[in-house]
Amino acid sequence: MPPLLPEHESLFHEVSTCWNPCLTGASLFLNGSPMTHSITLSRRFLSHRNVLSVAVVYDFIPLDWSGYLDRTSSRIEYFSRLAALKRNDLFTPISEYAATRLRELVDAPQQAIRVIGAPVRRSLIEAANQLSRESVGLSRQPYFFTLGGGDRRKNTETAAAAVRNTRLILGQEIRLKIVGELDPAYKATLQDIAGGDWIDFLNRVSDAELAQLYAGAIATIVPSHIEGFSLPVVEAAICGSAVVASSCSAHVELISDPEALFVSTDVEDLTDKLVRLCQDGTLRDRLIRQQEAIRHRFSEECVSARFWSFALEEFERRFRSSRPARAFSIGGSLPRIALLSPYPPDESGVARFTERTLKAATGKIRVDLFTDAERPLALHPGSRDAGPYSLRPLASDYDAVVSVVGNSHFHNYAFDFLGRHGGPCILHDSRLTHIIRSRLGEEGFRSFASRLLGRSVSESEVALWLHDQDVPTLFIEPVLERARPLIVHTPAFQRLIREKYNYHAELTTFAPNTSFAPEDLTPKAQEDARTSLGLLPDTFVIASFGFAVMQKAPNYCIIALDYLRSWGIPAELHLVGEAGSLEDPLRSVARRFGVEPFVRTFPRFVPEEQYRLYLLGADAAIQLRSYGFGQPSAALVDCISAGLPAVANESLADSCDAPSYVHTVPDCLSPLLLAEALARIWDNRKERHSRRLLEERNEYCRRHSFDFYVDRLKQILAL
Amino acid sequence: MTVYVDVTEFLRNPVRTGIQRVCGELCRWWPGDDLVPVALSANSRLVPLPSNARSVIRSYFEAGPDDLPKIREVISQIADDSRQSQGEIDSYASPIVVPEVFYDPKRIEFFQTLLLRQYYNVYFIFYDALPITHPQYFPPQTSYETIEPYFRLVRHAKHVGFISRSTRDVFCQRLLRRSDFDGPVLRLGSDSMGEPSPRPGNPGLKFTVVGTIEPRKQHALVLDAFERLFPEMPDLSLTFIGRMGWIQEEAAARIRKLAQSIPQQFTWIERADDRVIKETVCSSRATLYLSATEGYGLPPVESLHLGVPVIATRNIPSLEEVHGGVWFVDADPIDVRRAVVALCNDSTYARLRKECERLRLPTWRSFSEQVREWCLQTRTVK
Repeated sequence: MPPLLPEHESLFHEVSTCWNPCLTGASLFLNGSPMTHSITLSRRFLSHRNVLSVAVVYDFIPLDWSGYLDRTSSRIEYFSRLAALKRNDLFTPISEYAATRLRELVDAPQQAIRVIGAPVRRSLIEAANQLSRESVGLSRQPYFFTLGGGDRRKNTETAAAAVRNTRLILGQEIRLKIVGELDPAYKATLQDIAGGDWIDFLNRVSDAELAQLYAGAIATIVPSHIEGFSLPVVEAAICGSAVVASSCSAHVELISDPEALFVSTDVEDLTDKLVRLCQDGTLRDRLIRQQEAIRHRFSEECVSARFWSFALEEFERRFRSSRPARAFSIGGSLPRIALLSPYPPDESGVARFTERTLKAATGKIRVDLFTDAERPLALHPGSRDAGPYSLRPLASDYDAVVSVVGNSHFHNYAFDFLGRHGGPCILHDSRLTHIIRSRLGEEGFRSFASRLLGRSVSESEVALWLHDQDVPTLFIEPVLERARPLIVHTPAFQRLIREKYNYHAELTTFAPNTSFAPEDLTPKAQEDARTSLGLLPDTFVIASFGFAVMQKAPNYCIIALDYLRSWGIPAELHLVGEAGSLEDPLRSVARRFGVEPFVRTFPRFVPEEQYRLYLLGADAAIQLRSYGFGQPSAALVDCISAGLPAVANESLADSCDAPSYVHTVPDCLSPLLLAEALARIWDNRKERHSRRLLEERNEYCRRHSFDFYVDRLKQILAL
Repeated sequence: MTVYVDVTEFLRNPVRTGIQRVCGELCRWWPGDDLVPVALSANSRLVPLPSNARSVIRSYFEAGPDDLPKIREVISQIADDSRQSQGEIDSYASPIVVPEVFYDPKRIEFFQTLLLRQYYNVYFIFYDALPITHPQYFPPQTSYETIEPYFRLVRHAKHVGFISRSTRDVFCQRLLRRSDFDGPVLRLGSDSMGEPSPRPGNPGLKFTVVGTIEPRKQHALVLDAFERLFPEMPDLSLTFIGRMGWIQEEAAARIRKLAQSIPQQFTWIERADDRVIKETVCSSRATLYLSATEGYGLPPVESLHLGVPVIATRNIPSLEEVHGGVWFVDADPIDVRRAVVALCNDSTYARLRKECERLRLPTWRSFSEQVREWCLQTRTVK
C-alpha cells in the first residue's frame, strides 16, 4: 500500500501496516472495502470473538449490472467476498439500495444494518459556501454539466444525445461540460454523438472550479444506469445546481420530483426535461429549492456521526459489560496462539528452543504450530500440529499469531509472513545479515543496504558484514518496522535496540534448551557420560558447543589447547557441533600447532543425546563469539544449565547473564587468554560438583526457565 | 668463539627503528670480531653474510641522510646474494642469536627444526608478548594463527633473553607457567640519539610525546590533560612526534583538528628523522610516556639519556631500574596535569634535570656486551 497522505495520517494516533495484531483486547475492525480488496488478510478479524467488525457496504453493482463478472475467476472471487461479508458483525451501507440488496444477498439482520450515506468532502462544501457569498448565477454561455468516467455505466452518451437534441429543438448555443477522466475512444464516441464542437472535456479541476461548474450550469445531468449512492447529486445540491438524474434506486432515494428524474435509457425523456428547464426558469428554481434539503445530510460530520454512533453503541454493548472472551477449549479457557517456527527435527537451536517453549506452555497457552519441519512432530499436550506454513493463522480466531525470526534459512517463511502482515515477533538473532543476503542475492542486498545507510555499498563491505565485522547496522530494520510487539531474550540486546534504533522491545529471558535434574549433575553421572562418550577419566575434556563458524574462534581454541598441553595439562578439545566446511582448515591448524591428536571434530550435526552427554561429561566448555550485539548463546546457556564451568568472552557472558562459573575473557580474543582461563578451571576442577556451584546453577535455572519464559510471553501478548 | 646473528628481516627491510635497530646496534657495538651476521636463504639455510656485511650495517646506522640510499643499495645486494647463496654456517659449533621477531612460516619451520636438532645453541631475544597478553591494543584483524607460531617457537627454546624484567616475568609465569626458567635481562641502549647536546638552562614550557599514535600509547590521555591547561597557560605547548598507527578515526580527527586550531600550542610531526627527534626532545622541558603497557619503552630512557625529564606511567619496563629524572603518574588526566604543572615550576624541573645527569643508563654497547657474555657463559660446545 502507498503511504497515507498527511491529511489522512493526521486522523490516526498511530499508522502501521499490520494485518496481524494481538487480538487479546476488545477491538473494532473498520472493514472499509469488503467487496473490493482481497479478503485473505482481513478474514482473521471477521467473527473473531474479541473484534467487532463493521463493514461499509457501497453497492453490489458487479452483480446487478452486466459486464463486471465476465470471467469465472472474477465471479468466484466476488462470491467469496460476498460470503465473507456475511461474517461481519455490523453493516453500514451508503444507501437504502445497498441495504436492501445486502439483506437480500447475505441475509443480514435488520438490527445489524444502518444506512449512513456517503459524505461530500469538506473542501467542496467550503468552496460552495464561498460561491453563495459571491452570488454566482447562471453562466453567460449556457451549459449543462455532468460528471463522467471511463465506466460506460455512467451513461454519459445519453446526456450528450439529449443536449444535442435540446440544442436542435431550441436552436440555442448550449454546451455540455464533462468533468472526469474519459479515455480517447469514449471522447470520440461522444463527439460523434454531438456532431459538432460543443462538448468541453475537463479534467482534474479544483474544488473551487468544480463548485463554479455546478453553480453556473442550467442543470447537472446524472445519467448513470446504476449507482450505490450518487455523490454528484448531493454535490450539485450543495453547490446550488438543479439536478436531473436517472431513476436508478440510489437516485430515487435522494430526488422525489418526477420532473427531475428520467429513465436512463430514454434520451427523449431526458431531452424533454432539459428543454423544459431551458424554457422555464421557475422549474429550475423549484428543483434547486426542493433539492436543498439534501445539502445538510451528507457532510463528513453527519455521515461519520451516523457510523460511529451505531458502531460504538454495539461495541459498548458487547465488550464493556464483560472481559474479552477466550476461545472455548476442553479443560478450561486458555489463550490460543499460532506460532510460526522451525521445530525438531529441524537442525536448529531455535527449533529446540520452540520445542521447549511448547512444553512449558502446557496448561498455560494453547499453541497451534505452523512449521515446515518433517512430520511427524513430537508435540506436547496443549500444542497442535496446525500444518505447514501458510496464511491460515490469519483466517482463524487466534489471540495472537507469532512469527519466530532468526538469521538462518529456517526462518524464511516467518520472515516473509512478518514482512507482509506484521504482528508479534520473537527475534532470536541480533543481526539478520545472512537471511536477508540469501533472500535478496548479492545485488539486491547491496541496494537494500544502500537504502538503509543512505550511501553506496561495496561488495567488499558486504563480505566483511557477512563475517560480522564492521557491521554498520544489524539489518533488523525490516523486523522493527513490522513487529508489534518485538520480543527479545536479553537485556543487552534490548538495550542495544533502544540505543541504536530508539525502539522499545519487550524482554523475556533466554532459557536453556537442555535441562537437567539434580541427580544428573553428580560425579557419577559425569563418569557415566564420559564412559558413554569413550572419554578417558584423567583427561581435561574441553567442549565447545554449536555449529563451527570462524566467528566463534575455534582456531583460537585449538591454539589455546597447545598452551594448555605445554603447561602439562592433559587437555583435549571437542568441537561438539557440525564442523562442515571448517573441518579441514581446523584440522590443519591443529596439525600446525602439534595438537591434532587431541582435537575432535564432528563433520555433521551432533545428535541431541550426544550433545547432552558432552554437557554432562566435559570438564570445561569454551563458548566464544567475535561479534556482540547482545546476542545470547544457546550453547553457553546449556553449559550453565549443566553446571559446566565455561570460558566465554565478556559480551557473550553478559548477554547470557552468566553466573560466576563462567570465566570471562576480553572480547578482543587471544589464545593465551583463553588458555589461562581454561587453566583456572583445571586448577579448580574440584569445584565442578561443589555445593556452591550447584546452588548458583539452580538459582540461574530458576530465573532462566521456560516456565518463566512462557509467563512473560503471556504478559507481553496480554494473553 | 664465533657468534652468529640472524639479520634476515633487517636485510629485507632495512630501517633504523624498532627491532632492526637492535640488529644494527649489535653489529655496531659488539665487542670483538667474533660476530658474524647471517640470514636465511631461499632454500632455508642460514648462510654467512660477506665479510664486509657488519661494517655496512654499522655504517647504515652512522650515516647521514645523504649517504643512506647508497648504503641501502649495498644492503639490498647483500640480501639478494644471501637469498641465492648455497653456503651454510656450521650451526652445531657456535651460538646463533635471533634478535628479530618474525611470522614467516618458512622461517618458523626452519627454527623449529633447528631447535629439535640443536636447541642448546639458539639464543632468542624476546621483546614482549603484548599481542597475546593485551589483544585489545592491537588491530582487530590481527591473526593469531599467523603470530602465535613465533611465540610457540620461543616457548620451546632453551635460551631466551629478555629486554626487561617484566617481560621475563610474563614469559615465565604466563607463557611457560614455569618458575624454573631463567634467562638474562638484556636492557636496550638508551643512546640511539647520541650524547646530550648543550641545552638552555631553562627551556620554555614545551612538552613532547614520541611514539606511534595508537590506542596503547594513550595519546588521548595526554590530550585530555593538556586541553584543559592550554587556555590557562598560553606559553604551554605540546608536540606529538609519530606516525598515525591504527587508531579510530574519531581519535585521529581530534589530533588533526587540534593541530589546526591551536598551532601555536599543539604540533604534530608525523614524520621526523633522528635529528628532528633529538632537537625536539632536547628543546623540551619534559617528555611524556603514558603507554598502557610496554615490552620496554625506549623513548623515556632516550629522553633521560639526553637529560630531559620524563612524565611516565608506573608500568614502563625500561624505567624498572631508573631511579631519578622521572615523575610517575597514574593513567588519569588529573594526575598528568598535576605532573605537568609541577614540571613547569623551575625548581622542580631543575631537580629532575639534575637527577637525569646522575643516571647511569644502559647503552647499546652495554647491551651488546651483555648479549655476548650471555652466549659465552651458556654456550655448549659439541
